[in-house]
Amino acid sequence: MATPPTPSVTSTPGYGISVGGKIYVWSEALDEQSLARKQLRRVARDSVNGAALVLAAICLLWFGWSAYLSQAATIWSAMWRPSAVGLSFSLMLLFGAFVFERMCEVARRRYRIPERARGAELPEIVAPVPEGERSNVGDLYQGEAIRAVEEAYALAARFGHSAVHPLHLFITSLSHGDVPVVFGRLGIRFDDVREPLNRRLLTLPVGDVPSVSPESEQVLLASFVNAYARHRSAVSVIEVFYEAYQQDAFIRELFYDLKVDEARIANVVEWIRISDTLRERYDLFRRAAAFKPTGPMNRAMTAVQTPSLDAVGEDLTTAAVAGRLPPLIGREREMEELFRVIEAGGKSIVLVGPEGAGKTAIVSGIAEQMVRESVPKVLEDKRLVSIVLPALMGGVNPSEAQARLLAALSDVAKARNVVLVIQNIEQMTEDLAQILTDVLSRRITFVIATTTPEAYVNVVEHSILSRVLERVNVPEPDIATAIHVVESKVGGIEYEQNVIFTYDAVERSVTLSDRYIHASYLPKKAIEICREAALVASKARGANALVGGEDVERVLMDKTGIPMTQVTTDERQKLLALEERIHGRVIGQDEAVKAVSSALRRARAELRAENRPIATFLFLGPSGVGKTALAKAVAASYFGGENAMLRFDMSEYQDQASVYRLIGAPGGEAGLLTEAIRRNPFALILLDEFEKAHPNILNLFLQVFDEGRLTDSSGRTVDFTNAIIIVTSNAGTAYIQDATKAGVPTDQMKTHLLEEELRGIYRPELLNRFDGVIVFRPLTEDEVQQIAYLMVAQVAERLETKGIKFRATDEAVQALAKKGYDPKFGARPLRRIIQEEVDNAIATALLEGRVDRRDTVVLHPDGQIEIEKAEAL
Amino acid sequence: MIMRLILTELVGGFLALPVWWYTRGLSIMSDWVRRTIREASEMFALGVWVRNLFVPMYGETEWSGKIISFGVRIAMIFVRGVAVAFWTVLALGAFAAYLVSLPLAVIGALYHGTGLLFF
Repeated sequence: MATPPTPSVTSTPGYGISVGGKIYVWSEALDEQSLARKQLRRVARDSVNGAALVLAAICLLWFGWSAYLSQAATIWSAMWRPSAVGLSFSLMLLFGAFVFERMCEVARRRYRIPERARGAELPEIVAPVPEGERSNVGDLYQGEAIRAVEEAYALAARFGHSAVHPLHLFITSLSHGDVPVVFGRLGIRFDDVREPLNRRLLTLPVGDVPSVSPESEQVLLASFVNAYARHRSAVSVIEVFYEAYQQDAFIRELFYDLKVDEARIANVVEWIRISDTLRERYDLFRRAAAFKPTGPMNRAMTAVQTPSLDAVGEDLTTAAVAGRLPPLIGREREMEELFRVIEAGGKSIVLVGPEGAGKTAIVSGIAEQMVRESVPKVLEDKRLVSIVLPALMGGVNPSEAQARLLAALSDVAKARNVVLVIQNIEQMTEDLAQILTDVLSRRITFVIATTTPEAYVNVVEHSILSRVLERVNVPEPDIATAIHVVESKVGGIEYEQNVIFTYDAVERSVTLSDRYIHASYLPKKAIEICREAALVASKARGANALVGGEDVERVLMDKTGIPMTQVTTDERQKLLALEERIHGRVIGQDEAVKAVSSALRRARAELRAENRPIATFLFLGPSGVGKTALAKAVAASYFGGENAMLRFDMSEYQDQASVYRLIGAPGGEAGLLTEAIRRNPFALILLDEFEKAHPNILNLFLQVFDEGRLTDSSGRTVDFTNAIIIVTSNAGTAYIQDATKAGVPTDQMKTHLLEEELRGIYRPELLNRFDGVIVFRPLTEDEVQQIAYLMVAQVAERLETKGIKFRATDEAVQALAKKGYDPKFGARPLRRIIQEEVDNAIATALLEGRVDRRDTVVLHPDGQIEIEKAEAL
Repeated sequence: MIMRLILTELVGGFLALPVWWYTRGLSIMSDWVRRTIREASEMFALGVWVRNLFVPMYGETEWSGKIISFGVRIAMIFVRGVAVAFWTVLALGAFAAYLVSLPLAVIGALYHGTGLLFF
């Protein structure tokens, strides 16, 4: 956009746009006198038109009455001599002609924005105004848009401002047209912006009579360009609203504060336009559909009945005429390519795209275009019939299926007005494919088939069909397009469930499903999420419930188990005190606890890389020092329970074939790892004794650590980006124990481990991919004692369920700690010692009937227990 | 002020009416006639039938079928042609009525008005 010619306000046009040889400027007079004059003229015109209409109606009634009074036979003769019948008829004609003229003129005064040629560049707003025939852009504004501009002038005048600024235009646009809908969709209230806007108004410079500021002039011209770009016939308020928002930095900041950025505003405005376009398109389509035959017969009557085809097919053109097919949004590139291939030589097409990316929508789009007859000549006056493969192959043996297909294709050949659609063509058996290929190569008809990229590579490409099918790719749409598609579908969902969607809900359904659901594709997965969110909201809150972003998040959370709602105060406290909570279960190992806690906090604050697992750690250290205990504690405190931990003992995966146990064998059972993560993507994966796994498995994990995904044996991509992966290893244990005794600092120990001890065990690229390599030091006696206290507390917890109290003396715990500690196995023997000395003694006492409810069991050294009897009730 | 404007609109409107009637009004009407005839022809698919005059109907490719088809198509083209012609005549009739209606209305109003007033 050009810079303003002068900083002062202007009353004569300072900017212009050149479109189709004409120069468009803003020259609408807005001063008070002009407005008043315009208003008066409007009143006078409306009064005259109204009066003429009333007079014409009176004359019509008069003529009817006079004709009724005179004999039917005498009406004609009455016309030739002075009579009331003749006078009323003549006046009726005269006033009617006057009304006709006025109506035509009103319609003609509605100028239309020139039609933009497909792909034509957008005009630039330039200053000064170029030479040429000038047109007033104001003439291309809808009544409501011009009223909003007039009100902006009145607002500036009321505040005594020196100019009409974009802020004025923005404020007055808020109460017109679809702008309130924009606010509703964004989930914000007028009250949220009222005060700041009022305060801002008071800061604008004051002056005499306001004129249109250069910035506002640009807004008014940009609104025209905006409408022109989108093939609109006139400028509406929504364009003025959007351009005023774009022009004024203050308004943008204000919306930022309400968590609405430019992309959001643009997408909501687009949403409104999509609804308008769908309505316009529907009207046009209905008109065109009136000429399209709905049966097997074409307009030229050259076709024949097609009973065999009808038995296994569905007529898509008939469905389109009946309005049963969904509208197609976007996909101009694919449609263009498709028609180009068809026009080039009538070759058959296979649309290759992932499930849910919109292949069926494209087929529906073709059907719709065929109904409107805006298709290449070869498709004109034709039917689009989809062969339903299950109907063709179901319940019969292969030779009968072939007979059915032959009969259907014979119908197609005779009728000569059928274009076939075959969805999921990879499901065709080889024999059927052979028959179809034969028919297609003889150019009897052509097929629009669909398949997925995997099926294309695995089946279609190697089959005979590849000779006759030309590939047209239908990739998953990008986020913005997917949002527009969902916006176009939401209207139907709103109607079905009687709810109202906010933009936040639409956007989140797309962005979150894109991030967290990898088994299916956009836009289908987002539409499904919206459908479920609408159902949940309508059940919970009744009719006219507002479906917000949090409803979508809740549905996704239920589906995936991944927490994605905003962090609550309670959860914030929990996250900040995570170390403390973990230390409630894990004694010592501060470095490890801190590293894991920080990773979890980063993940929840959404500061982590989204294409890798939440975190990957390598825990090194001797047995029984808390490596597994820490993993369990993380699973319990962050993933909702120890069950969320998927534990794999990698010593069981030592041979090459065990790769298949993890990712599944081709055509066989699902993989243990991939299936577990597919079902529960939000989990902690613990890989014990990692160094013992086969090298091929280590390579497999290289990809998981790096890209956060793994492809299983059936070709499905499994997402690891919501998992924490903890790898434990005993490698270098002897060194760690010696170094700890020698008092080597942890950092130095880690460097030595990485450079020397682990060198022959793990490849450097694998070690580099860990977010953290954490050394677990052998436990000190003091730490073992604390662990003993923890375990004794667990015994007390178990007894509490039986109504029995339990406590241990300090001497008893110390004795247990001493017995249970082994420098080689850490605190692992402690559990066995507690079992042997404590649990056994209590069990015996229970069986002997020495302990009753409410009694207290006291543990003394050497497993001696004393029972303090409770008082009788 | 408002009365003056109303008067100007009224008088100006009536004075401009004859000019408008035979310039812009005429072009609007002729557009309408053209559109009506085109839509009628689209509705009865006359073009499609003429283009397919020698194409057998219902996929009947034997000689007898071809001959019958040709006959039926000729008959259908005739019937559909009559229908299109009927619409065309109607549209042209409306156009002719448009051409004469304004002078007829003025003359009629003057003739009947003065006649009733003075005789």
